Amino acid sequence: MIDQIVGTEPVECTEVVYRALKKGWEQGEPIPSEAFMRKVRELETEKAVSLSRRKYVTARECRSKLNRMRGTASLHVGTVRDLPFGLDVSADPGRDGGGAVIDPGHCLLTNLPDPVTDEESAEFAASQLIKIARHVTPVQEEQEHRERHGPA
Amino acid sequence: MSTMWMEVSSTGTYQPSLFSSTMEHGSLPVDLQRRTSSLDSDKVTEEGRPWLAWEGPPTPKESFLAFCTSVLQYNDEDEDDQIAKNARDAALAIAQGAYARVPNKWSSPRVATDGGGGVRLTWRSGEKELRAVFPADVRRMQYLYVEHGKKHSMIKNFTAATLCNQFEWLLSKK
Repeated sequence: MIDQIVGTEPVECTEVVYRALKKGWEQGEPIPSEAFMRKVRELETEKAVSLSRRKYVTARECRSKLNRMRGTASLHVGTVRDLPFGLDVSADPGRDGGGAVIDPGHCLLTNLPDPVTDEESAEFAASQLIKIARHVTPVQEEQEHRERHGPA
Repeated sequence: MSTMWMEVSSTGTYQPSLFSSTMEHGSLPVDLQRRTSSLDSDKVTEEGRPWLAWEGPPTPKESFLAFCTSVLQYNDEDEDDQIAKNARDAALAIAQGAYARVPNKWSSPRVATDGGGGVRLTWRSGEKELRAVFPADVRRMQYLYVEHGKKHSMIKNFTAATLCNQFEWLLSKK
């Protein structure tokens, strides 16, 4: 079990966060807009978009958390905070039933416009995020994973 | 998307029963059957010449059929990321209408969901981007999001004719 304090500290502007890219995205394609849009559930939407903090999670681990993720995009937190809409990244570590932190790397991209009530702003915000996001190549992913965990 | 082309040319698993009853069947099933039969593609060969079916980029017609197949087969890939029937039907109906009007301007969009059953189609050309969104919830309107550099606009409840106009814009140098 990981110390409860770890992962609850504020996300610094100097940090890098990862966003896993779903199926339908192929290597070499532009990062898709839906990667940075809140998911729509009936007439409500999820409050934020999940990200992973590089200080705790590698790109490969971010991609491997969920099935069938094809890649990862990286974002500098300070650059995200410079964008319109007051976009922010906040710590949201995953916890077990007892409240202990089990996923210190989980964080949230917040203040994204609601794609149900303000579609145009949601699309525009996604476009702004695409422009500052960078795709983590397989080589970069492998290198980072080796540096963090050593050769397989 | 490269995989869409491969899916059509190799499997040809179009099933009329999957197609919406609200759409006209038109020539779609026949076209797909021809594409996957041995009548056309298997026999147009000459010594020293590559097979025509494997040559060059897909034609607009092939691209449209690949798009239809991609949408119809989308739900087969991932049970956690599904397209709702009404969103699928709306997307196919608009796309079919647009293709019928300007077949030579058709190019396949990227197909994705909004995470809740809605369909998102994206076309891109240079700095221009066109997103057609078909929500799963029938109370929400489908919309087109148009972006060129820093400029953007939105058209709610768009028709196939509107999409055609946007294809013209996408291909233009304006």
